[in-house]
Amino acid sequence: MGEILGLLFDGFGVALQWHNIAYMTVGVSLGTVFGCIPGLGPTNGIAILLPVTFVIPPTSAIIFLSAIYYGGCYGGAIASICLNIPGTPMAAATALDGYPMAKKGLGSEALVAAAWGSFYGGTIAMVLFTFFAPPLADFALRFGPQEYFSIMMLAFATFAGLAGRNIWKTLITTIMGLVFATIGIDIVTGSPRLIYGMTSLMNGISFLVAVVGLWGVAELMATAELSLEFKILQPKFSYGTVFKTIWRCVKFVKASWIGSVVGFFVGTLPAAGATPAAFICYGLVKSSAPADKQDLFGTGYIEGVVTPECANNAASTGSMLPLFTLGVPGSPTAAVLLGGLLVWGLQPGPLLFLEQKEFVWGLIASLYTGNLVAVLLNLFAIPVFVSILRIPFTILAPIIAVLCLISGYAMNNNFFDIWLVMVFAIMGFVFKKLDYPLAPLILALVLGPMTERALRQSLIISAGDPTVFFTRPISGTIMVMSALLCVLPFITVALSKKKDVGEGEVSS
Amino acid sequence: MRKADIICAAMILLYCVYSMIDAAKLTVGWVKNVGPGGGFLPFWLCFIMGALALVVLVQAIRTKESGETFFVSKEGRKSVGKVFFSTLGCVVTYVFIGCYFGSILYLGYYMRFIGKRSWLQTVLIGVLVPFGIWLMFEWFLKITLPKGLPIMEDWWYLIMPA
Repeated sequence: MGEILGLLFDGFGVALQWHNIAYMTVGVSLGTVFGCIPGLGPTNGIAILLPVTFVIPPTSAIIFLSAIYYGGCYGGAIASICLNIPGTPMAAATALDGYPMAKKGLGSEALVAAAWGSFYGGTIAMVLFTFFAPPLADFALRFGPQEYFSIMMLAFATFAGLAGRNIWKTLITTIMGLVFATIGIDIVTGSPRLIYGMTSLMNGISFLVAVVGLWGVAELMATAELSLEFKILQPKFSYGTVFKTIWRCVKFVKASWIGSVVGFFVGTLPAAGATPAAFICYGLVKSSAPADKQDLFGTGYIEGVVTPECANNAASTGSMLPLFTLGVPGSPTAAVLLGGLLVWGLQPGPLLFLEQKEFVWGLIASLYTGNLVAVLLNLFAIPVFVSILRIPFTILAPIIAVLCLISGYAMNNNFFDIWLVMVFAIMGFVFKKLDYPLAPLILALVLGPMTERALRQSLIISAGDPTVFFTRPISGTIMVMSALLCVLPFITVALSKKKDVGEGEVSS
Repeated sequence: MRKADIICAAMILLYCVYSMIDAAKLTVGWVKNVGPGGGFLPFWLCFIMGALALVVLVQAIRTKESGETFFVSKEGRKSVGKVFFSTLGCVVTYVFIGCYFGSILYLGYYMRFIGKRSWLQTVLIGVLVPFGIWLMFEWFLKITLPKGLPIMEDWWYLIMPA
């Protein structure tokens, strides 16, 4: 405990250096802007700006990029409330009560409540992160390649176990990510794989190219389909409402705690992330509310804005817990951060906590200070961000598209990558339409090379004996857990079918 | 929607079969005392993915047409087409005249003819954004961006000494 506080104190020494404060502030502002523009989320924003970070020190770079991440969590709510279109998917639950509030003329109250909820959730989650991360990293120090392989399997299994409507499609995109990850030179034998006769594919498919295609250009296409111009409900803003609304929100103790704590733990699961976390907590708070309050949810009730915002911010912080302790990202955005870490030459995982103390604790401290800056920005600069929403889509779209193409190129200085961005754009658009989830694809693409390395290292150590994953105690336990998770959806399907038959109706 | 689902699953299936053939050029099997050969993962992953795609394909064929269309509306389809094909056009211009002039053309076209923005806005943003990109990537990050055909490249370095 005392040791952790000491390390955190040192971290503040790093985070409060003037250049890191500057990177953090710029990051939070950019993140909020990215978050509030539909069609440009923090995932894509971080991917676009990743090449920029190659020239700054890794500690500043991660402070900058993670600032964009949680800045985006704040910003997403703005579009949800004013446009009824979530700026980022994770803010979708916020629109349930946020937009009705704006329609009633309570837009600025909703925005203040969202900012407050984000701050509350983010801060509670940070405290959890601070005290959970070191012991988890300590535990993970005992891991060999066998354990890493089984941890990756567990990460993939969560996708299967928590798959949405169509488990087959979830499995397809997960495996597709793994297949794309094998494209390029084989790490063990050195022979090119799956390059289909194209030498440009020898370098493999960069995660960044996939992200700017799947999340960037594809998202623009999806946004364009809705409509080329949005109708904005302009909230009336006064500084008096800020304090009055915060005073109201402080009283939602139970909702805030459910949102923050549940959100955090849901966020740590690779398959879940911030979007379901927000909906889960919204549902929990609604169903646990007194009967007379329950009907208020969905009609523009302020608690219905605070809860999902607490949850999605807490979940975003939660998704960084497995990233830094185990090297397994908890969300697509965390996967992009992981890609960044690897490019800077840092291998996320337990060793980071031993060897790169300044980096890890500087980042953790910056998340505290960054949340403070983000909430101040989102409370007092509301008119600025709302006015950003007024920039027409026809100006934003081509600018975003150009940035996507250029950063796709800049990763490897390879023109072929620009074409790949367009291929991923079509894929992303079609997959989104047909309910193929994209998050597993990007996570598998980033984790693929590590998974394969762990698999083959383990097998070389064991002289080709695959039982090694099951005979080591930690690895074996995790493998059994993964297997159970994979079977889970089939059991639930079977159970629900039985029930349906019992009720005399068969659902497809 | 049903048709789109079928086509998509079939495409994935085709991709898997093609990849399996490609992967089969390497060692697909288990090498004794070493573990999987180079082609082991691509081959068997594609095999599983293909099997899953087959399941989705059969599911899609067996479902009834829901009446839902792939695009929400005709206008929606048009807007998606505009975004996609103009961006694709932009990539094509990159091949020939490089990313700066290509971006100017694309931004200008999109804002003026798709967005119906004023000429002032169009020219201002159309020039400032590529300039910002040059500043960020070429000047600050020292990343050389594509300049198009060799002849365009020569011109570029005449006016912009590297």
